[in-house]
Amino acid sequence: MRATPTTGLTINAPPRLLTMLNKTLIAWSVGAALCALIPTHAQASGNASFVLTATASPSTCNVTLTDGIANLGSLSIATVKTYPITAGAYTFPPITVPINIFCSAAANVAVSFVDNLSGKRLALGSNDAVRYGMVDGTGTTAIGQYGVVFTSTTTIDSVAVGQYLSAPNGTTTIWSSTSYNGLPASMAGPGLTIGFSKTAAAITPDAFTTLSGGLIFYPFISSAYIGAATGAVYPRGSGTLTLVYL
Amino acid sequence: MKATMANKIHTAALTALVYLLASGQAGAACNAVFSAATVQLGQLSAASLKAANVAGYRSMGSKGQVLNVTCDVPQTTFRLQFDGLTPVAGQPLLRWGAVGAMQMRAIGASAAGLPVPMRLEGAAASPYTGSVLLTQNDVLNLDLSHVPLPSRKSFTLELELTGLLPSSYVVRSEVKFDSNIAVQLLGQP
Repeated sequence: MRATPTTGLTINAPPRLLTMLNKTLIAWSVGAALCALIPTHAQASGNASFVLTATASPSTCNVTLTDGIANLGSLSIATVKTYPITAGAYTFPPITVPINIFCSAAANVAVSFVDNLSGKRLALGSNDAVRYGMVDGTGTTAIGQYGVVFTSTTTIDSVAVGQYLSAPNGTTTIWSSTSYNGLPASMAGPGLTIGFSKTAAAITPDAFTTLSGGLIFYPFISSAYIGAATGAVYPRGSGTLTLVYL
Repeated sequence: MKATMANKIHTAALTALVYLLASGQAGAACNAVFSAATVQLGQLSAASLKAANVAGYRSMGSKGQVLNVTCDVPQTTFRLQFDGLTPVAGQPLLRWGAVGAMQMRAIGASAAGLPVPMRLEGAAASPYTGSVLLTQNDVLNLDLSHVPLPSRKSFTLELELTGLLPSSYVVRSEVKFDSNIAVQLLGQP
């Protein structure tokens, strides 16, 4: 019995061996066919995964209000009585407190103002809304009010602020160039967030790295209260200033 | 004697066949590993982010990632699919965490150390090219036509990942961005 080699190879072997070789060749052929088919049918299985992460935070900004106190000093009642009276209140000399903001990178930040004694503002006139409450030494009796305004020399990144902008606290999408009663937005009224721009007539605040300037405090104390005083008086106000990332 | 020899040859042949079949079964598996389990774009200050090359976004940086795949047996094709990706409507981007977006681009592929072009299949089908932007759960196919079949056992895919933050999004406090990106090796279509 002779078999024809399927590979075309010349097989030089006795018939019996050739028979076996022929089977072998067939087997190899099948094996080779399987070998070729294996990758074709193999479903390349496997999977892998990874995580893409990051963290974003506002720039680190710090605000400092030198000492955090606008100290009226120790004044005699007689001296106070020499101050001009406006709308039933003595107008004290203004006190300027330096304010500085420093950010690790240019940041669009503003400053919100809150009156911690909002229920203790003695009504004096049309500008009450832009002012803060003031109490006596007991901490309970409203005896006056005070206004807060940025100095005209305040700068951002060494450029004079050309436009102050205000928005109600918590709503910093619509900015106004005015504070309450049409007063300039540099009047930092309670409940307002104040932004800064280098450009006059700007409608949105600028980003900056440093702000350098001052807050001027204008105290007004009831003339009736001063007039009735029989001893030392200890007027006191309190507010909170917070950086707001825009 | 001759019969014994033939039996030995037969036995060897069958053994080889069995081995091939066995290795064929084992060869169905490929091992896929990313070069890094976590790609960290870092802790970024939102104020310092620059405009991205995608309108309306700020760039949170780019990093590379490499997928290495080794298979026990040569592969006639090399296809893979990304899973769990959510496209951003109207943009060639993918969602990244709750507020971010990412751009994922395949920037290079190789088979047995030879650079090969790639293309997308399906709705986003493209011709073979050296760089492909992935915008959904795309199937990516490598062109192996110039790679000898016996060599098609190792593959790499280089990815470029770019994190994006919408310009309109205000970072008021620390925001974490986190997405799991999975890839699955596929067989023939």
